Amino acid sequence: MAHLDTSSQTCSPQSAAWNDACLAIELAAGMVSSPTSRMPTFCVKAQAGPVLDAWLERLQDVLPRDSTKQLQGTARFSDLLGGLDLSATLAAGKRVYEEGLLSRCHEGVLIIPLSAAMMPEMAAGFGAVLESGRVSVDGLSPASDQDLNLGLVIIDQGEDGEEFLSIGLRDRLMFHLDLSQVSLRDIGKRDEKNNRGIPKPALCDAALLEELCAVSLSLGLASIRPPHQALQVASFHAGLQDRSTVNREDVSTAIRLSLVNRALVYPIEEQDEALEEEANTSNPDEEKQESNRSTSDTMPNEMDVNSILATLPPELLMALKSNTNKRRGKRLAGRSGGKRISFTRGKPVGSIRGSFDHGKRLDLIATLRASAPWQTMRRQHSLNPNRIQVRKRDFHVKRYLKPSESTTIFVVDASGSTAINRLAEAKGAVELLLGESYARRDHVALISLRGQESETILPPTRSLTRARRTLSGLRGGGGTPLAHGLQKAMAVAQDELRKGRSPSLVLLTDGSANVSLEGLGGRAQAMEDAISMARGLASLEVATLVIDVSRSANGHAKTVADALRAKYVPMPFASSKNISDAVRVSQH
Amino acid sequence: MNEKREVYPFAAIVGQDELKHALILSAIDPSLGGVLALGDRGTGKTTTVRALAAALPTIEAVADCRYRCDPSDTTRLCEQCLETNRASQAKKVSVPVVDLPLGVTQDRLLGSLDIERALVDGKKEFEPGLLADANRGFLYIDEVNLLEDHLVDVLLDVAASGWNVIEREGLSVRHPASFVLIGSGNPEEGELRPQLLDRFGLSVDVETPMDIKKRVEIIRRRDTYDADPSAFIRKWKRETTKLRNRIDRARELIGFVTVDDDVLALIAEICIGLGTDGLRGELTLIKAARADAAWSGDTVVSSSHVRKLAPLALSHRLRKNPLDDARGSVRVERVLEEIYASRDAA
Repeated sequence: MAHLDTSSQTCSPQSAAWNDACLAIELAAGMVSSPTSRMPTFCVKAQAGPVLDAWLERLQDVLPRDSTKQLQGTARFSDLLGGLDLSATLAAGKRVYEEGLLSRCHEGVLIIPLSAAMMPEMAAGFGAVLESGRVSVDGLSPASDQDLNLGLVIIDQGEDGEEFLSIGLRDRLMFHLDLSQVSLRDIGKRDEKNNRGIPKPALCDAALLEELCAVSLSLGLASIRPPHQALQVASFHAGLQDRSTVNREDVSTAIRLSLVNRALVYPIEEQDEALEEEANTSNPDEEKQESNRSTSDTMPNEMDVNSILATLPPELLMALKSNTNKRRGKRLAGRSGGKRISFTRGKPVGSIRGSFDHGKRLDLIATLRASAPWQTMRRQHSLNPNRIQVRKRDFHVKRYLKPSESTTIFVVDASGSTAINRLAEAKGAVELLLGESYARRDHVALISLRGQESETILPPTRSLTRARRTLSGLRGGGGTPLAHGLQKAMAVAQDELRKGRSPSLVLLTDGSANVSLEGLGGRAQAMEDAISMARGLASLEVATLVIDVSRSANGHAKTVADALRAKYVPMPFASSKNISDAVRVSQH
Repeated sequence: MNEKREVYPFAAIVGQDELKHALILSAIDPSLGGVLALGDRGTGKTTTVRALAAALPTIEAVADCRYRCDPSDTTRLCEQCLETNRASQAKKVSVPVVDLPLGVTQDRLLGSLDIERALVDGKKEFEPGLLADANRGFLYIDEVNLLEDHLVDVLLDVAASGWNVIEREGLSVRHPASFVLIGSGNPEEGELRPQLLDRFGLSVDVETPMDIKKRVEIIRRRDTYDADPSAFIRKWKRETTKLRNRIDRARELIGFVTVDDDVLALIAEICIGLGTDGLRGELTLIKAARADAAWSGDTVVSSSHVRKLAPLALSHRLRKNPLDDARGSVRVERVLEEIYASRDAA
């Protein structure tokens, strides 16, 4: 099968990604036609566009006719289930159900483009369906349980490292593809259709399975599902090529198709070697991809990883090395900001009985449902017995959930005094905190203090890669425009508050301000400005953490921290627990 | 529903010893108050819970009763069973496991007006909800920490009394609803309310095995199971039967297990040492130790049973100490070591 063999031709990482995506389709088709016939599940990172359309078209070609359905990611899970057909029930005088979208998807594939985060309830619902392979028609009576072999294609349209799909559901999907970098010209010509036989899944020996498990762990995937899914991918890949045992190429393909794109940590240090080893055994274009990845994602050269490791407290180090640290998943797992119930905007979370004034929106279906049982009785006392009898107490209004996300604003002092002291450590610490924020899917912003003015070098983003790159470009030297930096931070924080997010501030400085708000030198004036700005910032009541990076705690940073009413952590004694706790506490 | 479905055999689960043990104990003594499994995703929590129910012996229930009333316990019959004489007609049913989906409505949980009867006959009739389905079985809540507050309140009420009382929409119904509450979740995604935490009898920290060999074994077994579930279940049938018999024996024995004053004093000392609120900790620890003794075939609870069960029964009842980041189980272990050391010395 020549078209399966993507390794023979060298091509750009983009077209390699495309080829992988097409390979996934082939494998999925194989799985569907195999005796167990499990429908495939995909998580595809892509924007709406011709590339995605082309891929979906290919997918639909290999699947049974009319077996795909599309759904908006903002729908409610209960909308997918069937339910009582009110009008039919009233007309027939007995309970009439209508089938829901989900039950019509048995042995089919549901395509869900996600342009916003998926509701937890929805994700949990799909998770349960994938887990049990069953669903009840109306979501209510267990008697109506039926088999549901559901295929899913979830298109995560999050940009910039942002992810809309919750980890819980992602964990249960088999193929993880990234088409976001692929452009139309990367798409090769379509291969002629081969006559596929029905593939028999191949067997995998213990050594290769072990390798699969090890790689999955080094990518931060502590769950047992990803390696299991990768095993299935590998054994089908071998099966498609009429081999009865899995070889290394199958394993590396499986890692590419199923694991790499959902990695929570990018392997650094010894993990790099493991992956490198992996890449060496596989095809050249993958190697290219891998090396691409490692150049863009590992820490920059100027920041010697090991020297930072050596100077950081051991607990911080543990967290940095956490690729294989099982506690990491626990400590860093997703935590979103507080959520608020709203009657006007946000994501729908059902409805409650109530009057629909003050811009609340009437939930017509729920209202009718509430009135339905009383029709017979009410008709007897009504002047207009032919109308549907709705009373005020039947009114249901829609409720919405407004998640309040959190944003961590880092203010990093890159002045001469700090640079001499411990800029490298400061960066290392920021990087760690960034990593944690990233794992929690928080937004991160970065403001640097250097020279005459501070600079917002990273507006609030969710992209860790971008933040890391920016951080690596951060050079030391110059004065400490602390007041100006705090002013900037205040502006960003206010902006975030307006957007409905809950900001928190992490300030890394030695506290010796020497540039005033006007950009003039002079320690006294600079300090005075900084203190007054800090007091202003404190009035926002944004949770703040000050990390004192001065070699000898000279008390300046403490003074600033007090003015900010912030938590103060001097670096020599700071532990990862202190820092991450402080950040976490401050974000509540 | 559950009966027909193939379930991964309990005996074939690799690792998870603490969770398995906790589940077995609450099967031996359902009044223990259930199990809370806290941990990462993909650690096999759901599989383990489902597997246990399938491994349990069947129970006697009134044949025509929707609540699966126990014919031998007249204090816990539903209204219909009390009024009619149907309690004499019994049949064997398997232990139910009911899933509580996150987005469940209060109506669905508690039961509500039967819309069909209301529409067709204009009659008010009660349609039982999930709590009724779970009577005498397990109620499993995945991601329990994300459960909405108003549902938690309802659950706590019913779990405490063992009865579900409905006074709404003109209905007035009361039916037995005693179930073993099994919750799972990842505490980092949302804290559990202390009231709900306290309600769980035992808590277990579930961790993904980091040992590659173990992981390989898990994946291997799961893969074999997926390929041919029936064959896999047959292969493990012996083990499953053995487990079932042992649980049965333990259930018979538990009535005869005694607890000495000395052990009671020890339990009190541990709870005081840990500063647990209320007495539920003590009570649970006594019950758990008794069930553990029955499981191991002992008729007297010894201090080693207490030692083994204390972390499970107490670790989630500690007050949060902001200066102490250690997990509850670690803190319990510390106190245990002190107490046992001083007792050994004495």
